[in-house]
Amino acid sequence: MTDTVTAQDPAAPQAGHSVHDDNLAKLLRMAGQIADFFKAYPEAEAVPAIADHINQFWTGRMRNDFRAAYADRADALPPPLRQALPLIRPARTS
Amino acid sequence: MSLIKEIDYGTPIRIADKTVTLSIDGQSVTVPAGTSVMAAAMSLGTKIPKLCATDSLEPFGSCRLCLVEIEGRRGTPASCTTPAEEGMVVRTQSENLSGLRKGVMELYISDHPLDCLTCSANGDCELQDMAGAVGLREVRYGYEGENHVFARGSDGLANENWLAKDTSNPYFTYDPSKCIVCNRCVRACEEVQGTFALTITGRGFDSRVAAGPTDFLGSECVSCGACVQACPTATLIENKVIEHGQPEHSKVTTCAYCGVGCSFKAEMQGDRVIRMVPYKDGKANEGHSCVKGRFAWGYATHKDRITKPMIREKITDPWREVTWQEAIDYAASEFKRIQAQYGRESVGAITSSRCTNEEVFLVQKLVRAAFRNNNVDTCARVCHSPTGYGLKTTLGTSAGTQDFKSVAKADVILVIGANPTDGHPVFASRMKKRIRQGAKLIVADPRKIDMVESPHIKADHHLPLKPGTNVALLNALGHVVVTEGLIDEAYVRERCDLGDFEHWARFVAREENAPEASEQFTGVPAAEVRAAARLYATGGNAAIYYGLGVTEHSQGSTTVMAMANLAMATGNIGREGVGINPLRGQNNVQGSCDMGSFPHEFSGYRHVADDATRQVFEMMWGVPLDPEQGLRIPNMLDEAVEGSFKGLYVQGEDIAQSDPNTKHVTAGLAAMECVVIQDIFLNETAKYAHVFLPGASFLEKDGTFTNAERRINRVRQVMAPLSGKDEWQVTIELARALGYEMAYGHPSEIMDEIARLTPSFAGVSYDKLDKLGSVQWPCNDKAPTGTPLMHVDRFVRGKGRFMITEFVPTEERTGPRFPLLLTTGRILSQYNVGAQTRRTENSAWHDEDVLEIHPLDAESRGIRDGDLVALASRSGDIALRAEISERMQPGVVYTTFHHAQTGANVITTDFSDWATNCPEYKVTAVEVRRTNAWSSWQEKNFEEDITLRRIAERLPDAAE
Repeated sequence: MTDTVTAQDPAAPQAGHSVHDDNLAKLLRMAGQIADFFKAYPEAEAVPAIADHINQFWTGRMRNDFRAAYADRADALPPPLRQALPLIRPARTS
Repeated sequence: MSLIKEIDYGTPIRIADKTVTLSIDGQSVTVPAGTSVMAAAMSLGTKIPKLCATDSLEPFGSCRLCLVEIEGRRGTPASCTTPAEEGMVVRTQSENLSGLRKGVMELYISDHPLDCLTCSANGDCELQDMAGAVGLREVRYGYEGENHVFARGSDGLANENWLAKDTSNPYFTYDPSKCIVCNRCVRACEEVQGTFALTITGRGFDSRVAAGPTDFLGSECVSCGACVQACPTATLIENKVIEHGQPEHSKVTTCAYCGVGCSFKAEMQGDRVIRMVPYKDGKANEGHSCVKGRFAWGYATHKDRITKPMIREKITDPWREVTWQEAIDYAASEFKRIQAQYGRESVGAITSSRCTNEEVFLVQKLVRAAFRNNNVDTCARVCHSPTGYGLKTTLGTSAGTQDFKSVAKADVILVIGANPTDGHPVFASRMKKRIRQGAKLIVADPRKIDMVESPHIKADHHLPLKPGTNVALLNALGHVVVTEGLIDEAYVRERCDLGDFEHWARFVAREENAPEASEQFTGVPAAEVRAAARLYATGGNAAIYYGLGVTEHSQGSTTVMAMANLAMATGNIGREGVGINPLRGQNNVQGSCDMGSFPHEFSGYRHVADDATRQVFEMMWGVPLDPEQGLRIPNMLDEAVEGSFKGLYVQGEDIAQSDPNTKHVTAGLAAMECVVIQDIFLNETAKYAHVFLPGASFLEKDGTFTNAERRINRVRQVMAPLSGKDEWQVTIELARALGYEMAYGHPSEIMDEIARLTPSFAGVSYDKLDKLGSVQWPCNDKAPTGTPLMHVDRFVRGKGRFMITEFVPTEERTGPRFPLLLTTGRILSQYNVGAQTRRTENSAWHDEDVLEIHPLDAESRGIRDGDLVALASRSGDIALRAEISERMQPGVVYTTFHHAQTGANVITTDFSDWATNCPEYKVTAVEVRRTNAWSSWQEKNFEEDITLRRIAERLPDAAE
């Protein structure tokens, strides 16, 4: 067992501010859990796998919200998520 | 229509490679070696008189009625205990035999009441039949002698041999005065059910059937009905038959309780069910049943059934009964309004794991084709979604690998996070039978469940891990397999991806995964883990059976993958007796997943973003479909609380009771502007609903359920829908009102569409199901009669893929405020949210949820057995009664969620599986203390049981 990625981002939206912030905090937690699973893999495999998982299972709005929250401050995300962020697909517009 | 009667061969038909040919009454017959003369005769259609024999039980040879003559043998051997032999010449009738049989029957009848005309078994009594068959005309002994029949002798004095009826069980009656002591009930309890609750007390004339030293209800009896089924007389008989008389016709259908999916004959008088009798030719249960399927079906006609559509504008308004047209138009107009106002994504649906495949398919079709989004999810989200993800990743398909029968070939059984004797009782009976035959057993469970130790069952290894440490335990098992050289190298080399295998092997071999290292997390002594791993890897056919104790964790999917790793590494997938077997919870949770109930998948588990698949659906359905996956249930609720998700169609689910963190669930529901419930009762979720569409019970339906072994079984209608409408018709009408046309004349036509659109169902049709009884998917050109075993020569994904499964402890941690871990589960007599079983006599066994707590934890808190205690977590608190139990380990408490008033899910949290968002029901940090009051949530809920359920205007019965 090593340190988990699921660290709280101190600058991230914290629970208690608003429902939207609560939900963003949940998205961060979910993304962190996904990253936790794949961190056992080499970075070259882990980063696309994390993004692929999010692309396959999160709705367009969830992905957009997550991208928007970290667009200007990807640094706030722990490493594997930070690299995966640009690979997260925006919602398709239909 | 007539009553379906299976042939009773008298003794089990043996399975053998060798056959023998013999002559019976001059006719030649060939049977498998080991078959009895009695069964050989019956295979010719020759019924040898019998009383103590029935083919669900091993021969016993006590009644002496089945005597035959065999050339070259002295005397008259019993045909039930005599194996057929090559060249044997048997006579089943002769003057001599006839005289002997009459003599036997005369003795039986001399101690049996002669009240045939008023007897409840009249018309279905083997003793009566045999008296007729042997031509009994007189009883020379008279009836005045010593007997078990009369309460008082002719002298007026009490007959000390006479015993009163035992009516303690709510479903059947034991009348000792009618008993012929054939032992069938006792043997059924042992051999079929494996409970050993019944016995014969006394000897000779004093021999009596007894449920131990007490009555049936107070005994170990689990009320499975096997004894009632086996009884040849009126001694053990269903109370409904006593009340109404014998049924006159029957249809084979499928139980609507757990994922075992037992086949039953619904035995009827007109459209009234008299009894449900397990069907011998049903492949899932082979003639066995449990207390739920056999007896607890009375809810179907319970007075609480809502049979008229209702609407209301606000949930605080009373309900108004309306016509179907008005209810459907109102629901459709609300969904349209919401989508216009808040966007296409603002509505969705939850399909039911209790409804048929056909009904579920239509609801997900409605979402995709009429709502035009993919916001559909199902109860599997909160139970076995990690199974789907984990098995698909490693093996290539979410399918469980075996049929139930396979357990009879297992040499080592690993039960992890499952409690089959409560959750899947009919399968548990199969498993226990195999263990009694000598299979080894490993149980990994925080609690000392019945599989750990019960009559004639004892686990070779019980690994009592701490909740939340499954992955650490499985990695430790894998560590032993790798480091002690127990890998099946030939299997891995031939069938698995070697690069992934090597990564995995290096990973589990690391010191941190050694049992000695993981003991600090799991609490399981390293030596036990090592011994269990050796047994699993080297004990022959090793089969894993698992349940929600695996999946309902933050690392549920990881655990499923870790089990797949272990099974692949030891060569235990792809033949009978092995495999990874999810014991799925609800009757059709497998089917609801297969039918495309997940927001990212069409039927047959194909991603909505896959252009080729989507185009096929678009062509068939005639509308463009959304390529973006939709919301999962927890996401729906989150977005509802945030204000962007506003309308929900719930088909036969009760998320307000079953889903975790009740306050969050109800906040989400309360924030929605239109909640439509299709159900048979005003359930907890209906408190937050605006439209109620009355559903139908399984007795009112035609369709199919798919059980945990992927077996597609027919559900057959035995009574008209009480609401006047089939559920699938209601979905069609709602779709039409939303502007999307659906046209089907019968559920079989829906299945035809499923078959056209779903490769794994391509060969499924009602015709085939009627012919074969059932099939297991995949069923297509390659496997026209279905697929009992998966991955036989190669894995579905090609090469099996080992995944690295690092242990990541859940964020839900104990601490000074919440020092105990709560884990939740189920009990035999109640089912899921209890909406069905609570409305039956099953509450005689379990009428409230209790908190099981270890004596040490109880003592340090001053808690005595039966005390009301407050159970609090970070999510909320409730009060319930404590039950002090050594089944628990110190530090862990347990409860069930069957009773809405308890509100067990007020306690559980939002934590969920990393891959699928399956909630972590199995790990919640809690504190327990004595209390004398219900919690504020409970008080509010009691009040809302009334205020949110008022029905104001009733329509006259004449209306539609």
